[in-house]
Amino acid sequence: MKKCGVMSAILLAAILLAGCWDQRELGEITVVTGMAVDKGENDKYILTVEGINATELNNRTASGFAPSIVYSAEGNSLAELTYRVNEGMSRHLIYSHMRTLIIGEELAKEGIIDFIDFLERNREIRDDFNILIAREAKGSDVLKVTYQFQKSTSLKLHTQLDTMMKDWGGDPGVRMNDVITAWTAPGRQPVMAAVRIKGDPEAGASSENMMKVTPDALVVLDSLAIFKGDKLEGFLTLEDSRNYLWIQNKIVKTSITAECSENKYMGLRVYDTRTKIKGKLENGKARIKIMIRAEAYIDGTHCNDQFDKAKTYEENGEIAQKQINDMVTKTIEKVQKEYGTDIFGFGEVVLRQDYQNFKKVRNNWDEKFADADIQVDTTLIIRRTGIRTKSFLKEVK
Amino acid sequence: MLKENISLSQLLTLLINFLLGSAIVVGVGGDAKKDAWIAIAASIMFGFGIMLFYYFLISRVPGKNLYELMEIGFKRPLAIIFSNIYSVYFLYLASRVVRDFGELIASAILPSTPIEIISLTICLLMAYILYLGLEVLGRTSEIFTPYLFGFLFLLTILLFASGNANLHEIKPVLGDGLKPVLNALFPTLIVFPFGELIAFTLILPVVTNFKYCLRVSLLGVAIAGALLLFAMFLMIVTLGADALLRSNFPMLSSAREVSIGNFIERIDALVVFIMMLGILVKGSVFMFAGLKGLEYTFRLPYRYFSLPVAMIVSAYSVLISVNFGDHWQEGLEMVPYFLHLPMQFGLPSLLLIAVLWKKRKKKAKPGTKGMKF
Repeated sequence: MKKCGVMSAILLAAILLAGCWDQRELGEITVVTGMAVDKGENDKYILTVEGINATELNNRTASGFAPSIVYSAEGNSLAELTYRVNEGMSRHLIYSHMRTLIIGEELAKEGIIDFIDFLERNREIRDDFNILIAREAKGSDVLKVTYQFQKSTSLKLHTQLDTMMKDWGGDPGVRMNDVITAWTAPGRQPVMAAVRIKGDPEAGASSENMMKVTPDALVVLDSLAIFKGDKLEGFLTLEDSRNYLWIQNKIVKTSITAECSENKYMGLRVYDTRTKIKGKLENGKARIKIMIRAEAYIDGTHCNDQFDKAKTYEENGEIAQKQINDMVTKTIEKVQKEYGTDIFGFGEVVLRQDYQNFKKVRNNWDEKFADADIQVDTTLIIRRTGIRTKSFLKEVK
Repeated sequence: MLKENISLSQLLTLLINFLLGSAIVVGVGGDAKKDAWIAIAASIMFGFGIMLFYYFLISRVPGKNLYELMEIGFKRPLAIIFSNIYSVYFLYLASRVVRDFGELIASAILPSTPIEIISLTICLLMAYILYLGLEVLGRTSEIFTPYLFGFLFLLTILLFASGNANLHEIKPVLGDGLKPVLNALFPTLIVFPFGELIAFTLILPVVTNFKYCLRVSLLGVAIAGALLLFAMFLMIVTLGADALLRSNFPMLSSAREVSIGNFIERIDALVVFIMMLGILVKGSVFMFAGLKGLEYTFRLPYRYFSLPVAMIVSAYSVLISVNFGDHWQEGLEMVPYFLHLPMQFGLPSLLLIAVLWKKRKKKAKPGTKGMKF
């Protein structure tokens, strides 16, 4: 009896402790860091995945081979294609560390909404990767371009966008879940960052590209792609992209240039800024008030200003204030007039602050946005001027 | 039959884990969208009422559990029938709870592992705990509950620190009026999870310090309700109402959002721990309640039945529905109306009336014999 018990305990332990069906050894997997989706030639999509070669990413073990492998497969559903790409790749692909999703412009123009469902539903894929549009290029070409530091484009873009957003604000900071929320929630349309290949895509796809001081091909952050529903509507400039961030209260730090006197400029580093938006509907017309509060320091000036007087600070602050007002208003007006799609989420603001009225215009909010009355009000305080007071420019003989 | 006792603190932790149990896995009150937390806040009030009702029922005859009360109320033959119905009800609920857990693991954590194995392993554990008795269950939940609070606290800190929680997501509060809140409240939120406290009519009589039992039970309901409310609030502010409604396991989805410096990521394990503890306690309490019914019918210690019954639960947890949609629909459309309402409120009310009537009759004729309990 006792023997029986011991035996069954061992048996049970062997079954229960042996692990599960889902184990994967590190040597059997390839980590996918980037994915690109393009319009297919025969089928609906072409999926391109970039699997990294971990030994090449480490400087000690790198031996000059290509840092990653990029492979494409064509089919009608992404769910199947993510496994089909093994027709060209040897190991299990792990999608949980995916950093970047690039969508070809052509596909985005036709409406891309349906394959995103797979990305949201799949348990392995996180929903906070960067989502980008490849402007005037194929997503697969963007993935192929190599780069000196992060070596693979998807990792480079991830770092680059992050840096850009923290230092200047050209990346809208949009993750997949933001895009989905913008699609589903009333009163907002999605935006995405757009990238472009500068140079020759063919030449970019080799490790020699990494060895040049000026690479043959470089993926650059180009603009802000804006959507109406699920269709790509157009592109705004990088400047607009920063202003967009400003309205979203997502600016960490940024720099602006203001004209202090004729053809003379000053640069300001904005290091602390907050934006509040108030919105309501009055007699069927939307009134949006954007209040920006910013702190900055002078980071260079062409004018001979006396920065040892409080008054000079005020005067320059006012110039910068006006500059910010103009910039932000211009961006909003451009979107209102040319596209009429509420990428700023003003509808959301009105929804939160004036829900009863918003309910009535819920289904045609974009029209209300297009003729909304926008007022931008900036308060900018210049705190300090670097490590100099007066500029040497005055003393120049 | 061995006399078992659990302490008041064990009762408290059992109550908390029981109420959190599957409610935190699947998320409750979703019908009210942004105002789900208001619905939960309101349901806590009903939770107090329900707890008071069961306590009142049980305290009519001290030391007797639901099945023994039935004997007083309806005589033994009828009581056996009712107790068997209740056993089946409780074991069915135990299977549902195990299935919830199985679905969670199979769809989010270990997709290639068969759900049978998952439900078998957790049922083996439950069988072992219940074989050792209610006291062991009480101690298990007592030991692990601090971790639950710790992990929930950690999750909150991480969600706010990573900037995923946007407090403005809850606005507008009550934008569409009270109607969606009421829809979520009746009957779903009342019968699940608070109505399921009926299983505690088998546990309350064995608490050592029965004097403070009511106070502790109400405290348990309050704490569990507050945690549910807080968890729902957290889910709304991280996911937003739309994504919340689309998630099968919203708590898990919100934990997946956490990403601090590309370093602290994928903290799903914390949430899975909270859920696993809740499921383990809830499943065991239901199974215990079912086993007590068998004990009453067959006059044998319930622990003899624990392994076979756990295996039945394990098998049925897989068999009760063909797919997740089936399981979901059954739980939302059938169970509340056809099972929960009669079993949680119908029969107990009947029983309460019968017991009160019998007691009055007994009081009226103090000299008569024949009322043997």
